[in-house]
Amino acid sequence: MTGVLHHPGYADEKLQRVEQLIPCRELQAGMLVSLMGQPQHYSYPSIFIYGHRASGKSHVLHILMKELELPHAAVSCVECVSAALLYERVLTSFFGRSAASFLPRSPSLSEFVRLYRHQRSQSPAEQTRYIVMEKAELLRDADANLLPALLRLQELVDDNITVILLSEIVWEKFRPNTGCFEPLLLHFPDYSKGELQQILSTDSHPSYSAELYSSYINILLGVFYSVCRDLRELRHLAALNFNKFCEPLTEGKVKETETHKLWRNIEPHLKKAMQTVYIREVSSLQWEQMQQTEDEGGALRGLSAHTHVELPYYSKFLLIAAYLASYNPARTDKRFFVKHHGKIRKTNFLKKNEKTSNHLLGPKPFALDRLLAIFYSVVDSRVAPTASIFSQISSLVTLQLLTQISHTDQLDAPKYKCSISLDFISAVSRTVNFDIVKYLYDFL
Amino acid sequence: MSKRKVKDVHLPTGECITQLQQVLRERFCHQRLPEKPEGVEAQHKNLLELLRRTAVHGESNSLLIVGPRGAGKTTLLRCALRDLLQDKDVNKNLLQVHLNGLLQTDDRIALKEITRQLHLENVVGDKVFGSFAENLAFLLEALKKGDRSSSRPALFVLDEFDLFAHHKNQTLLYNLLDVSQSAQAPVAVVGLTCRLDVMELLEKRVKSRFSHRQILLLSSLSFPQYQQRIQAQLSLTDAFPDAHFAEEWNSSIKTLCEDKSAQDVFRRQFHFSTDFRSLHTLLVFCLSRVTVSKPVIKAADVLEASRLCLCDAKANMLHGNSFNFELHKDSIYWPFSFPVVLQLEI
Ligand SMILES: Nc1ncnc2c1ncn2[C@@H]1O[C@H](COP(=O)(O)OP(=O)(O)OP(=O)(O)O)[C@@H](O)[C@H]1O
Ligand SMILES: [Mg+2]
Repeated sequence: MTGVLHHPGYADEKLQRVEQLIPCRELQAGMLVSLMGQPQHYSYPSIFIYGHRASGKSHVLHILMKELELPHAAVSCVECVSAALLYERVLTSFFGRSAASFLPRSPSLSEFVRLYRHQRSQSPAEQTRYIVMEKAELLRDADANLLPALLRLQELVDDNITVILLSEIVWEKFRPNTGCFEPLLLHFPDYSKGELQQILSTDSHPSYSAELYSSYINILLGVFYSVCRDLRELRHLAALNFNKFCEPLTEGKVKETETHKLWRNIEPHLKKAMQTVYIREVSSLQWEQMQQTEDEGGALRGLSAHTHVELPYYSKFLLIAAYLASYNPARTDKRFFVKHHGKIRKTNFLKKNEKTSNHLLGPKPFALDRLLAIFYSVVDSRVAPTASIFSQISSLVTLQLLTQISHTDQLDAPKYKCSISLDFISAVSRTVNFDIVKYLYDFL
Repeated sequence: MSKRKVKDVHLPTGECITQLQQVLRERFCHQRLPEKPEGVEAQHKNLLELLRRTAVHGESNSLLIVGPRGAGKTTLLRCALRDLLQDKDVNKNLLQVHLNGLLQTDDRIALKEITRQLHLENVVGDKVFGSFAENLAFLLEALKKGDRSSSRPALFVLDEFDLFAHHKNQTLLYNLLDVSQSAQAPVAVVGLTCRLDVMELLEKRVKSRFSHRQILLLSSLSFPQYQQRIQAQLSLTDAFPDAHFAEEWNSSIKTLCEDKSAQDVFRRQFHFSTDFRSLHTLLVFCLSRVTVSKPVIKAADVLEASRLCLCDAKANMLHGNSFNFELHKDSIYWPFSFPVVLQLEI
């Protein structure tokens, strides 16, 4: 007996294999195994396991069920959009396909339980049967009776069965008004930095040494750990940036042992990655492309104005148009938006008093007509001036991205001002592939 | 295979622990019926008497068992039924229908289930009924026929009774209680609920047909009694195969219950709630820590178990994040910890 896991109900070799497969979760797995008890004994009717995203809940359960060869039904509440699918899954896993075929169309819980009891009387459980429900928080949206019934399924079907619920939300949020059978609660804490290091280091690259990969992970965690402890996310980021890390090595500039140089090379890069990829400002694919074009295109544009507002497609263009209308002098519209404007140089319409930047002066009011005129020239498809466009303008006002300046009773010529920053609009225009800087008078 | 108990059977410790786990797990996890429902002897006698009157003398009746969650309503009823069915005649004669408000979510489903449990699917066949009452009357009538001229007594158990009150027009409740009151057939209706205000849920016409007999399961234990209960719940009976081990185990449990720090935990549990189920939760955690190398429950185990039972889940979930803020509130990254926090639903 060398490992932490040890239980008389299960072979030591199996438990050892489990232990190898779930680094840093031995304690929780051990706890779970001791609660589950020997296979032929009864286990508690329901166990509720909670912990943050990617804290290893599903993984541990999956490995335990698989390696210990326990009879189980793995159910994801995301997949089971209707209860019928859930019933079918459970019956199929325990009693085979034929059992599920007895289910009527849109079966009720009553029918499921009856069918289960019928099947159970023919093949009673020799070992505890487990139903593992992932993303159990979705059960709260299901039929109100489903969750309380699942929690006491053992009593209802009178079988040696245990329902294990996995959730990212605490149990208090589940409890119905009139109470229900209280499950055992088990918490999976977040991985610590050391644990993350250990886990991430296991998937090293075949053509590089394990130490190198481990030191890479160390650098990665140094940058990301403060903002992200999600293992899945970190693993993705690690994979995404590893090539960049290895670049000096492949080019032969640096040796593997010169960690410091490697660190100097990758650190700014990772920081940029954090500002863009992690908060989903650009997709991973875009990021990879940006990495490739970086050398030609000069410095990376690491912009951090994260748009927390998700806007409809045309609203984004309306906002862009509003921004342009607010910060460009009206005279210059012709230069920017008329196709064949001839040669108009900046100096041609530079007035003496306009030396200061419009951005320092702040947004200027503009009329609706001008906004629409700019909108139609920046948006690349033909849009009819429908009510939907106009209602989007009022939505932008409601969202306080635009401010209406004129009186509300002035219906025929409302005036607006754009009240967002350059960072914000740059982020917005990036999402629609519109290079706003090219259209701003200040930056000519 | 009932082993004759021999005084000097000695099993290896591993085997003993397995047996111990089996016995106690059935008690804590599987609602194994106790020999005698502890602490509710009077109610048990009452209930048994009432059921017997229906089963033997053909009286109709209705009754509610009301008590908080995990207080032992279902156990009480099942104990009474078990004792009732020891009588061979009753066993042969009594029809049982068990419904649960969680499963039979409307009256159509309930009726289907009643038909099934009375084994009348073939009799009913494709018949179409005008009303619910007609259908139920037909079912009860069908039971009457056969070799006997009088009806067989039927027991309807409605677990989570309050949920049936939410069915449309309370048709099922109305009809069942109506039958039980009008003595068309000997029917006992027993409802189990955790809602003390259940009467307020009933419509007038339903209420007036109910006998207003209630069994309340509100525990009024004192702490010493609660302690005794804990000891009884953990102790092994004479039926345990290795008498020597059982004796040792029982004395270790006795020592545990006298331990100061364990008592503190039990007292906290006692003030928290006195029902069986929350006690079982605590004891399952204790039991899971019993192994071959440590075949006893120590006070430390009880402490650890109560820590697990009573831990603050929200604090658990927040721990990783709050820590984020503290460390990095002055670093340039701190606005980005929000996505981490937003994962939570607090
Ligand atoms: N009188 C008793 N003596 C010994 N054990 C009991 C007694 N009453 C209840 N128990 C045990 O307590 C547990 C909970 O009891 P039970 O399921 O009957 O509660 P309940 O009132 O039906 O709860 P719910 O309202 O959730 O249905 C069971 O494991 C049962 O074995
Ligand atoms: Mg009950």
